[in-house]
Formats: sequence, C-alpha cells, structure tokens
Amino acid sequence: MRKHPEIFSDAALRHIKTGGTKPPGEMTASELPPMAVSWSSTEHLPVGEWKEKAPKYVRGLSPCLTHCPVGNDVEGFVSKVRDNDIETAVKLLLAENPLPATCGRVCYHPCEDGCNRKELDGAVGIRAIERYLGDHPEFKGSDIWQQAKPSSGKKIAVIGSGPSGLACAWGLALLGHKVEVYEQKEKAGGLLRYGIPAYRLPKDVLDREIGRITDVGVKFFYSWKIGEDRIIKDMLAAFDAVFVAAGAVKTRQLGIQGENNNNVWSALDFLNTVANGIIPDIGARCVIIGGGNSAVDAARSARRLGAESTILYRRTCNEMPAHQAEIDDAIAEGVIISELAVPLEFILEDGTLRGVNCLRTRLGEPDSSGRRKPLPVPGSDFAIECESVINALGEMVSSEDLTSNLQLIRAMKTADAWGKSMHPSLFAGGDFTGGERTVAHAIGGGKRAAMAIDRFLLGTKNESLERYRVGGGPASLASYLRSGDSEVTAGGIRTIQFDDLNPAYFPARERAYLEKHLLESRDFEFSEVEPGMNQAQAIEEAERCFSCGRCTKCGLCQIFCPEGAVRKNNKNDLMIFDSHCKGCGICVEECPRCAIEFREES
Amino acid sequence: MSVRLEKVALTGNQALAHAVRMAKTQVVAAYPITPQTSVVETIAEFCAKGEMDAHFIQTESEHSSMSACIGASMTGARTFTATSSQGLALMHEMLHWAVGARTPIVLGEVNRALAAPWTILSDQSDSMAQRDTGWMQFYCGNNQEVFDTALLAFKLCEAVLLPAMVVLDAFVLSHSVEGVLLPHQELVNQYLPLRETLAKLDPDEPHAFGGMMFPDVFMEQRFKIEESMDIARGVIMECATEWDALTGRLLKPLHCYHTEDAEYIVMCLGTAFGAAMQAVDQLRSKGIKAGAIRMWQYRPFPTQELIDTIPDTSSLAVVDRAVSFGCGGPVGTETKAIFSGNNQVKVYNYIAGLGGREIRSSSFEKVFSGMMENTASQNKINWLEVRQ
Amino acid sequence: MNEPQAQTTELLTADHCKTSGGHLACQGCGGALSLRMALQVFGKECVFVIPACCMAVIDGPFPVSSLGVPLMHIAFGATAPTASGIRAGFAAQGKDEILVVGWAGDGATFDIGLGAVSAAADRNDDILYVCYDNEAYMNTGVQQSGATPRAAWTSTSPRQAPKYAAKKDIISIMAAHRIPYIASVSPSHPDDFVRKFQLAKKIKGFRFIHIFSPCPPGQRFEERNTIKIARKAVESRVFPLLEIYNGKKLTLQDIPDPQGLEEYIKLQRRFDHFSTEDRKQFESDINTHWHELHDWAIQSGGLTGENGKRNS
Repeated sequence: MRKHPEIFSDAALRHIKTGGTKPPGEMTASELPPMAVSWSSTEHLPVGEWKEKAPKYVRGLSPCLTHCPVGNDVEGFVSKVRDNDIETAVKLLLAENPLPATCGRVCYHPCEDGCNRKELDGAVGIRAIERYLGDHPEFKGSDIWQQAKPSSGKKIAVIGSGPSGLACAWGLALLGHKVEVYEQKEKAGGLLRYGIPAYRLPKDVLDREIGRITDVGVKFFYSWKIGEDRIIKDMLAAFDAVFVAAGAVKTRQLGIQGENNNNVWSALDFLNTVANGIIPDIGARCVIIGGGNSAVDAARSARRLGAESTILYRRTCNEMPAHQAEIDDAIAEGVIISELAVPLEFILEDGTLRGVNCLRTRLGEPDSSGRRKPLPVPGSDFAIECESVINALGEMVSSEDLTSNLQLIRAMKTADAWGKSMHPSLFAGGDFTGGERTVAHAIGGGKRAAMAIDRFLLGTKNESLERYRVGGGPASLASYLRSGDSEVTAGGIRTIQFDDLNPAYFPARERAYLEKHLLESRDFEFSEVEPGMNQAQAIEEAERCFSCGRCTKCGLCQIFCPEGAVRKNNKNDLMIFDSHCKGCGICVEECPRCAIEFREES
Repeated sequence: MSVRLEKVALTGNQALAHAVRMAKTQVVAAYPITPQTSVVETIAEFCAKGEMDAHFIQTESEHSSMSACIGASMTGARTFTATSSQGLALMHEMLHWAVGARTPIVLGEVNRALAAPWTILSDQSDSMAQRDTGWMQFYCGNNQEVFDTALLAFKLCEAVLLPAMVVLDAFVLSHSVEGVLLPHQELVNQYLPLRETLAKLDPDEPHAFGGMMFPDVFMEQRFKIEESMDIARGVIMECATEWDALTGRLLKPLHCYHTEDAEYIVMCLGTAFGAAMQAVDQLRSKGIKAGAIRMWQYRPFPTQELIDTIPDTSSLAVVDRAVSFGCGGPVGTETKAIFSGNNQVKVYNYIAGLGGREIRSSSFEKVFSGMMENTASQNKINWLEVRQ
Repeated sequence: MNEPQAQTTELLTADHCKTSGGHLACQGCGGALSLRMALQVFGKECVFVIPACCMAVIDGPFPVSSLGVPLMHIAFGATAPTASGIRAGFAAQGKDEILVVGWAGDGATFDIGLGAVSAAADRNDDILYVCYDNEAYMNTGVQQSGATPRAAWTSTSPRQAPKYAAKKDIISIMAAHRIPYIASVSPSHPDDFVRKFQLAKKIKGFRFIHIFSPCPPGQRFEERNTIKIARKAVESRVFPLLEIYNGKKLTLQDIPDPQGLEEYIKLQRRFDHFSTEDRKQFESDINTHWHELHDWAIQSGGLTGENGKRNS
C-alpha cells in the first residue's frame, strides 16, 4: 500500500518503531517521518542539572530513643506494632531489654516525656505497647538467642539478680558468654520482686521474664550469701569477669527517738514481707514517712492491708520525687498526704507505738537539688495517731557486706558509666553504683556493663564503646551485637523536634487510656491496677507514633515527586534518581517525619 | 467485474453524500451551514437508516468539526466533513493542523462568498483563501464529477497523507438535480479498499503526535508536504486512470475545449465553464480560434499541464471568482507567474461572478473581445461587468 | 488528613508508571505531578489529547515524549472535539475499551475551548475531560484567564488594574450539562484523587475532572510548597473537593473548620499586593461559592469527611 517511500520511508518507520539512529537535525527529509511523531522517551534528558539543592534521605533521631535509659529501640518496636509485625517488634525490644513486661508496668517512661506527639495530643502510650509486647506469650528467649553470637567459652559471675544484674546477664548471654547469677534471696528479681508491690508488677509476670533469661542459658544460684559462700576475691579468680549489682539495701535512718520499735518498719522490709505473702500487723492506721516511690508503694500496700495510710512529707505534693501518676492513684485509693510535715519523735506507750509527733514546715529558698528547702515552723507541733510507721526515706548501698577488701570496695564505688572499675575484671552497676535509681536506669547500666565486659574479654578494651550510644545517650546492644555503627548510633545524627515534622499528616487522635482497677475496698486486694492492651489496642496506639526522623517508606515522596525521580532500588529502599530530580524540594517539605534533607549542590 | 451502473437524480450535495457513503467513511463530523447543510443532512439520514455505518458527530462549530475529523483520522478511521464560506474560514487554524498532522481527511466544500455583507450565494473566495494550507483542491463541473472526485479524493489522500477539498459551486451544483451514475458498491470497494495507516494513535505503540519541532527539522517537515504535493500530481493521474478504466469517466486536471489551435483562451473553475464553452462556440462560428479551459485540479497547481496545453502565441484570460485584494485573482496571479518568462503567451486576469453574480456566455464574449481588441490590461485586474 | 492509604500508595508508586522522568516541567509543577498521578490510575490503555498549554511543552519536543501513552497535540480550543473524534474513530474500529482523555489547562477550558467542551458534554461523548487549573495562562507568561481569582496578580491584571470578576464557576457550568460525572481533586489529597479518577475511568459518557494545580513560577511561590498550597486550598475552602452525578447530586468533602486561608494567601506572591478590601473580597468569593455548594450538597448528595468517608 505504501507506494511512495519518499513520503513515509522505511528508515522513518524504523525510527518510529525503534528510535532514531542520529539526531533528527542531521536526518534528511526522507529519513524523517511525514509528521512530528515521537520515537523516544525523555529519560535521557539531563534535567537533573537544573537543580541548586538536592534532597537526601537522612536518618534523624526520635527523642524517645535518646530519652529511654535502657536504650530501647522505641520507635523501632512501636512502628513494627503499627505494621502489625509483632514478632519483629518483640525481637527489637528483647534485643535491648530482657524485662519488657516489667518496664511496661513500672517504668516511669521518660520516652513518653520526650515523645514529640505530646505537643499535639498527648505522647504515644509507649509503655503500654511495651507491656503488650512483653506479655506476648508466643516469643521465648530462644527466639532472640538465635540472633546471638556463638559461644565464647568465657564465664562471668553476676552478683545480684535485680534489673541491672538480669540485664547484664542477658546481654552477656546474647554475646555468647556463660553467665552465672548469684542471688541472696530465694528467687530472682531483687527489687522487682521484693520492692515493687504485686498490684504494680505481678509475680507471675516477673517469673516469665526471668524464665526467658534462663531460656538463653543463664544459670541462677539462690540463697547465696556473699561472705558465707564465697568472697569476691575468690570469684574474681574463678570467673573471667564479675559484675556486682547488689543494689541498695540499707535503709536510711530517721534519726529520731523510738525508731527501733517493732511497729516502725523500713519500707524495704515492709514491702518484702508483703511480697513474701505474709500479712504484717500494721493496725488500723499507718504513717509512711518519705515522698519517693517506695513511700507511695508502701502507703498503697498499707491501704490494701486495710489500714488508713498517711504519707508524711516535708515538702508539698509538688515536690514529691514519686511519680505523679502514682501519687494520683494513691490519693484516688484514699491515701492521705500530710504535706509540709516532719516527724519529731514517736509516741510510745509501754513500748507500744501510738503515734508520731510532728512539726510543720514551710518552703524556703531552693537548695542544691533545685527544690525549695523545707524549714521547720517553730511551735507548729502536732501529733498523728497511728499503730504503725513505715520509714520510706530511701536506701543506701552497703558494699561492706560484700567484702572487707577496701581496694575492691573503692574499685566498685568508682565504677564508670560502663561499669568498669579500677580492677580490670570487676564491674559494677545498678543502684549499687549510684546515679538515677530507676528500673530503666538499672537495666541500661547492666547492659552497658555487659558490653564493657565483652570488650574486656575480647581484649579490645581500648576501642571506645561510646560509638554504641544512641545519639550520644543510651547504649544499643543490638548495634553492638552487629559490631558496627547503626543509623541511630552514627555520629552527627540530629534529634527531631516537633517543629521539624509535617503535622499535616498527623490528624489529632486521642491517646488511649485504659481504665485502672483502683482499690475500692480494703479487701487485701493486690491484683494488678493497670490493665494491659490487646493487640488491636496496641496497634491503634502505635499508629499514633510519628516515627520521627525515620523513613517509614510511606511513599509520599514518591507519590508527590513531579519528576518520578523517587524510585525504589532492588533492595526496596527509596532513592532519588539524580539525573531527573530538579530539586523542587516537595519531598523535603512533605516528608511527614523529617527524613529528607535539602542540601546545596556541590 | 461487471460494471453495473445505476443512474439517479441527485443534487450535487446528495451526490457528494452518496460518495461518502459508498467510500465506507467511518467518521463524519460537521456543523450546519448553507449551502453545505444538505450534504451532512443526507449523511445523517444514511446513518440513521443504517445505510451507512459511520459515526456522525454534530459539533458546535466548524473549528470543532475539523478538530474531530483530525482526531478520528489519527485513529486510522476514514473521515469526512463538509462546510462552506464562514465555516471554512472558521476552520482555518485546523486546516493547517490537518495538513501538519498528515491526516487524509476529505472535505466537501460548497463554494459560497464570505461576509460581510451577508450573502449565501456562490463564489470561490472561501476555498481560495485556504490555498496556502496544504489542502489539495478539486473544483467540480457537474454532479457526476462531484461524486467521482470525492471517491478519488479518499484514495488519493490516503496515498499521499494529505487532505483534500472537493469543491462545488453553491446552488448551481449543490442544489441542482442532475442524473448521476452510481457504481455498484463492489466496484467502489475494489477501487477504494479500507484505509491502512502506518502511524496512528495506538496504546500498543504509544507515540506523541504533533509535538514541538525546532528549526533544525521544521523546514524538512514543510519540504515533505511540498514533496507530497508533487507526488500527488502523479497519484492523481493514477487514480483517475484507474477510475476511468472502471467507469469510462476520466477526471483530468484541465478540461479543455478547442484549445489545440486556439489563439484566445478563457480559463475558469467550476460551473462557469458551460457559459465559456457557449462563448467559444459563438466565436468559432465567426471563424475566431477561441478555446476554453476548466481547471479541476487547483492544488497541486497543474503547472506542467498548463504549459503543455496553452499554445504558443496565444492569449489566455483567467477568470477568477475570487480576489486577493491588492494583487489579483488567485488563479490568474499564479497562471501569470507560469508564463512570466514566455513573451508569446499573453495572460489576462478577470474577476467575475463574485457573491453569486451570474457569468453568462455574453460575459465570456466580453473577455474574448477584451483580449482581441486589446482593451483588457495585462498588468491590472480586469473587473468584469462591474459598474465603475 | 492522613498519610495515604496503602492501596493508594501502592497504585501511585507502582512500576507501571508510564511517564518518563526528564520531562520539561518547571520545578514543583503541580500539573506535571497530577498528570503522573492520573496516568498511574489510567494505566496503558488510554489516549491523550493535549492542547496548547504547559503540558504540550512538558511532554518534550520531537522526537521525545514523556507520557508513555499515545498523545495527540492539538490547537488551543480543540481538546474536546478532538477527543470526541478519537472516540468516534476508535468506536468505528471496535476499540471501545480505550480510555480517551482530554487534558487541558484552565485557559483552554474556561476560555478558548469552553464552547467546544460544552458541545462535547452536551453530546455526552464518552471521553474523560481533565482541566488542570493553575488559574492563569502560565505557558504564555501568566496572563489572566477566566479561572484567575479576583484581584490576583497576572501580567495582564497588574496591581493597578486588577481582575474585576471572581473565578469563573466552571463546576456549575459543567453541572448544567447534566453530564454523568464531575469531580474536583487536588494532588495534595491522593486518596481522594485516586478514588475519583478510578471512578471517572469506569463511568461512560462525558466526565469532567477539575484539578487544582499549583504553579510555582506563575503563582509566585517557592517550588517546595506546591503540595502545601494545594492542601491549604482544600483546607481553607478555596478549592472544594466534590463530586456531582448527572449534574444534580452533589457530594462535598466537608470542611467544617476551614483553616489556613491566611497562609494560603501569604505563601503566594501573586496576592502580595492585597489590601484589606481585596482580602475581604477574596474571602467573600470563597465563602459565597462554598455555601452554594454546601447547600446544594445538603439538598442532594450530602457531605463527606476525610478521604471520602461518608459521615452524614
């Protein structure tokens, strides 16, 4: 039919079918088709040269990561829950923290204090999500064990099975070492078991967590009394390293008359007794002295034993070191807080406690702790009648119980942030070494010590461990396990603030609050106050997480690129195709979580 | 194949519509305008009755009907429209587009003068105004030729990838009934097979058509249009010869009447030719060697045919029914250009028959006498029968 | 709003993306972006008609094309009839499954091609007509069009001689044709965008989609703000997201608490010269239009919430 090849030549047809062989400007008329018809795409046009700035994917830090004393990959596990990938979430969590069910109940969640979402409509309920994961029955320690390193043949003794010791043991086990934990009491857990009341941390929950640790090969030795069985020096000889996390077990004295009466308890003894299932006789009225968490724990426990309990505190409620939520719950459960009061002496009748004589205080100028100093108000004496008193002023470390070797005592007391003491194979952590006394801090310290011990055992102790700190803060065991910098531990990484985010993609969505089972009667009720979330609730709460600073592959950059220059590589990672990107910056502007930066073209 | 013919009484517009039907045109898009309207009315009726399987689109303007034709043609469909005068003028932009897109659209153009002032009567100024668009143009002399030309146009256009106008005078052809021989459909099928296209809108082979061209190729593109016009000269002859073989009717670029030995020749387009032949007969009876030519093929311009036809030392008066103000009649001006190097052929240009003014044989006699008595000017436009 | 739903993201980022990079749109072009998004919905079985407009340049000069589907360039006012012709040509050849898309700017739709669009709508030709509206003749250097809002700067409506009339109500004009489907979309709302284009793709007859298409050089804002401005346009009621079935039943994405108008104005230098009076008039135009649509919606199709979820 094509009789006239001048009009539509074979060459022109070929160009249309397969692309031109030379620039059209060099073709003769007969090589050209009769009409303007395209034969190639624009792919080869170097429009990328137009740009002055180029977008780059950059990892930023969620504040929750740097706020978590444990070093949990908070954003990591929360976002996996959001994706309904519970197994990965549990693994991410357990890689950093052997006690998620515990932390998920008793941690005072500094992560939530750092959460950017609090600027919008309340922090993400991270602790509740952690608890959901910690309680998840399907995942055993061996699930994590598979990720760990091969056996090193080294053996480490851990003294004390509180949170720090457990975390250290877990970390060392994951790193391939044999670990033996020595505990003075009949069961493991330390403060977790004997200090925290069951209505906050049920014992079976703790048992499961410890079970997970025995799962990975950690051996526990109970009722092991230092000084009776072995002394530290012997242990240093018998083990490749020793980690001491013996806690703070010595109660601070009130220093007033009548302190030694039978009805004056130390908070530790009182809580310990209750934890052992023994109901102490504290009478109808109990006064608790102190304003910390153990004071509140004791007061609420006393309520549960049927007593009217009154906390005596020398400052006001606002200055109480106890966590606000605990104070609120205590008040809701009928605990009376007598502010601005200090005990002067106990009122004894024939050796029987009848009450406490007190003095009112007023608040003066701030002291070294930043809190206003309570000053006694002369002549303001008053008395509170009671049948028992609980001393909750706090606990101190007693290293002398462990050894009489002054050198070792000094070595332990001066242990650094990584638990390293002046003695090369002796490490220490937890409340035993000072610093902030929370479960999370204890776990973080135990974990750091595990890494330091590993370093020591591998003989590479000169290499700095600082590079495993997340944004310069808490240490990441997962990163250490991979023996390399991770995105979050890399230097120069920026912490993302609320203003860095694109709020357009985060509609207001109220945080889920589950109704607490507060004590209503005096029925010796120690069942758990805070309920846990089910999976749907956990996912829903996790959906509130912004994933600050981390690309979630939400695809907006790809959707909104007018150039189609955002593509996925064969690893499914997003990348920007430089020769098509014109540098408009829509991706940078629209990224909900500040995971793309605009940089000047060099 | 047996040549079975059927003679039907048809107006020029109906003859055109029948050709479009028998060509198995697939898409017709049009807008009404007198005197074209009955072309598309007839087609619409064919479609409605199922006598024709075409998609008929009535648009809101001729600009849009040509746009629709271009779109349809780009899919590979055989496409037709018809218009007149104002409508053709409104199409102007898209007429260029149709050529640049190389869409083989056939357009029935019923010649009507352009306003203002209003008139619906015939002259050729509407189609002549589109002579630079790249459309081929054929001016018909009778209704049979309208029918034959339309079929030839489809075949020709699809071969050279250019559109064509089949032009007929308003009312004299468009609304006048003549006997028209309609061939059997099978004969038309043989002459005009279904359209095949090399490049079209096709999702399986996606191309962009009509994108911007820079100066490095734009001129080559224009050259190719001119080249196709040249090729068309030969293709027209082939198509006409084939049609002649099938029907015994030969379409020719120039229809000549006593030109072989003529000393004085008049040339026109369209139906005025009848009056011209009468005038020739009148002059021949007086012993004057007069002749007449009807130009059927205006674009591509039949340059060689004219050179071959016009005897040396003759005088030629081109009677235009259109005028390019400030220059002359389009056909006259172009004819003069051909013979500008030939001192022996004298070319005159007359303007006549504008806005439906009748051109009688006496009018042509005046043209002849103008040449013979040397009262006509070779250098100026001669306005025939105008009260000056 | 939310991040897009998974199926939206999957569709819009799928590898069957037909547009090539390397096209010639300005940085941050809302029109090029919308085209890319729409093509992800259309897939391969479609044909485009594009008149004189930015997109005619963006696609690339001979012999390149970025679209990846057949494209017919056509004269300014000729989009709709050319698409109608293509539809008829395909129909004549039994190719009814091919989607025919007319893709034109506001000048080609509101102004020069309006009569032709109206006729194609009147015939209910089976084409999808898309107007990407950047509120002026951007390709020719920012001249006023029927889509330009009152008093906005263009090169033919300078500060000293501002445009008198409010933006032409193209939606009501199209609705008056009783065509089967009309929708307005914004690239800032991908879920809504995709859903409406998917629906429009399925419906037979003349469909009209109006895209709000920010233009950084023409509306004079920073390229990175394209989506932000489109989003603010929706959230401030400047550009209502709606659907109209058969010209009668209107569903409107409700904006009960309009926000961001101030920022919308402030981000674009075409509004720089706004006096208090201009600002008031601008807001009044928006409110008038919104309340007309709102009343219409209440009487017919109702209001929808975020992402097209029905909430009333």
